[in-house]
Amino acid sequence: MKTKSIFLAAILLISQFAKAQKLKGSDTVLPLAQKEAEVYMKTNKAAKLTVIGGGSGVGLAALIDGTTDIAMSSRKMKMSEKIKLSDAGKATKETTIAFDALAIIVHPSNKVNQLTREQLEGIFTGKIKNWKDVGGDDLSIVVYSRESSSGTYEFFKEHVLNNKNYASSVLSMPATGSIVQSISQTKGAIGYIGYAYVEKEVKALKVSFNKGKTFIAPSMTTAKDKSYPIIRPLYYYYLTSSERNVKPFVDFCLSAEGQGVVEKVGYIPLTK
Amino acid sequence: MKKILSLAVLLSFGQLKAFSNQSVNNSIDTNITVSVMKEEIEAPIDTLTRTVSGLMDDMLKLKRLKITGYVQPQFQYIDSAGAQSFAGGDFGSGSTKYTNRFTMRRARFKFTYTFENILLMVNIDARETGLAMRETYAKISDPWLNMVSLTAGLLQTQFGFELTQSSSERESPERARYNQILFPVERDLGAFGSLVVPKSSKLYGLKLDVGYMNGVAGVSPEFDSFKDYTGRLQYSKSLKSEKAMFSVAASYYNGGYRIGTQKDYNFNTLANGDKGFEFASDTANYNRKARKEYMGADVQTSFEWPIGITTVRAEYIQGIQPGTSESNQRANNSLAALPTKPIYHRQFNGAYFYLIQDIGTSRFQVVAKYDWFDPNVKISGEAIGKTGTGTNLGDVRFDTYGFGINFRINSYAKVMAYYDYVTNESTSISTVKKDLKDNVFTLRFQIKY
Repeated sequence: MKTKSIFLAAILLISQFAKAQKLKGSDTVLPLAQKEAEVYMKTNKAAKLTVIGGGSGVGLAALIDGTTDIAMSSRKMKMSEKIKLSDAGKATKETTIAFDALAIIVHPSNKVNQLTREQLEGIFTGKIKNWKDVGGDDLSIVVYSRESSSGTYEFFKEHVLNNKNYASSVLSMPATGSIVQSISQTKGAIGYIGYAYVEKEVKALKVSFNKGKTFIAPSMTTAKDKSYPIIRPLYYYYLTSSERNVKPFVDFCLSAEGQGVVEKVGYIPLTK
Repeated sequence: MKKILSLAVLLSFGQLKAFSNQSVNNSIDTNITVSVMKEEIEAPIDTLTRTVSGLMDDMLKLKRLKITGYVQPQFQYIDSAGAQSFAGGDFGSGSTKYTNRFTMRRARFKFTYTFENILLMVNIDARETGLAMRETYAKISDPWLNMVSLTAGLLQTQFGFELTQSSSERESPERARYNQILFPVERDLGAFGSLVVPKSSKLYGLKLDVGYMNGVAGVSPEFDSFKDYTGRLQYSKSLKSEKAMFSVAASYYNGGYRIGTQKDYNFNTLANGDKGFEFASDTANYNRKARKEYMGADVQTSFEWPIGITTVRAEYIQGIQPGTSESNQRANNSLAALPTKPIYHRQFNGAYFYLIQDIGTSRFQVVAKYDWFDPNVKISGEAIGKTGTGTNLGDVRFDTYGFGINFRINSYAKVMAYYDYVTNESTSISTVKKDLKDNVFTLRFQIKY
């Protein structure tokens, strides 16, 4: 009896998953997509959506393999991925669903409130090693970064470090949560996280991308008006052949209601 | 999750009821009964959790083993029955010659077992001609940066791009003629080390492969003490916009095999002024090494533009190769044996060029390919086959122009229609006085899993 019950439960569970539309990919997009799916399913009772993380690369690989309907990505699709999709006879569509602002965070006790891009480059590439060199206390800088497989790692390297390499002393963390936790517990620490993850335990710095003329703090307002300089788009990728099935949800994400969810979760809505 | 729990509780309701009756009959204290009931209510859920956990464990173990591969049944037609061909082999000979055929060109079954930083792989080819071992190796990678790996067993020879590219991914049916002649079966027994520069390094994009092998090709046993070594240094890069990528590489191969008691010939200017082979005076010095040395460079680029993705590939190779009078393939009659025919040492060169164009975002792709192989760069045309020069079929240059169209049905299936227009130089050899009739049409269906 027990075996039968478990088998039945498993079958029902599998059939639920089989019917559901699947979104897979970026851990940055994950909380947003989860919330979007939750709200969407409330008003569309027949819709079943399953949202799974794993990273942008995992999502795009799943799209190539045909094991997801939408790939969530915090980076553009790579050329090698485009070739694989093309070799599979598949054409894709790219939709920007929101923007993500990257905040530079330090320990709340740190008296430094702002940094220029050049100073950030110096810190993350290992040229600047002490907070006193950027107006802070005589304290060693402990730099935290995401792992090299992360889309956020690559974005920060390209846009903030001008494609220079991270210092070998940088501590790689597997997730945003662990960066927040580590920085909140280390006085001399610095790192970068998505704006949505900024908490009271850490302090977000103002940054300047015009050699110190103006410093902008990350906020919904500065991100929306694009005055905050460290912003990146977030994408959904799907096959043109499955456009009919996925479009209602994608359209919902782009609608006023969907963009409202974007702002509530802490991401930057698209401006029209 | 709530649904599963509710379902599990409902399904176990019948059992709970029975248990409850039994409890009353035994006049057990009510509190104890309730407590036991609670435990019993949780039991099916625990069972489900345990079962799912067990299934997950089994699944994780099963996920370590992957079975992949591809099959390539095909139909081919050649201009003349019995012609020699590099488009999947000769079209018979003598009384069994033919102009067309169905073949299972490749049927690969690849078993890969991965556990942490160790990988085991067995690749079998099952064709109408029988079963054959392909790559079978063990690979271990450094567990810290996944930057260095060592692979040992039956391996693909690390030289150039086309040689290491899977036949399931290649846009033309076969590798360029020079690859088939210089690297028969494309595999060898040995070991190779790889160094992949990690993303955090300034040198990211660089990859180095260094191999050390028997040099006998394939699964054949070793027959001499000479070993071959090879190396390939590659650099790959994508544009920031991800609209284009390119890769450049240089390869080197050095090796050889024991000549044994066979005579050998070197190419020189003869006493009468002709160019030709002359008997090597040190032939009496048996057990010398027939030296092979190849140098190559390759480049690949892909870019995306409104008409679709375009890919261009080119590779060039030159070097020295010991062959026979009739062929520039190795002089061994069998892959694992000392030479049974005199050895002719030649300087060769060869190249291929691919232009691959996706038709917009459609499933069609067109391919144009050109390759040449000149087995003896020091002689050409009617000088080949001239009496007294010792030159023969092994010195004839071939140029192949290929055109094809691929229809990618989905991730697993593809249809390829391809025409090889093969030309050779006109020589003084009686059988190769003009271009041979050896153009081939191939219609291939591929399933990849």
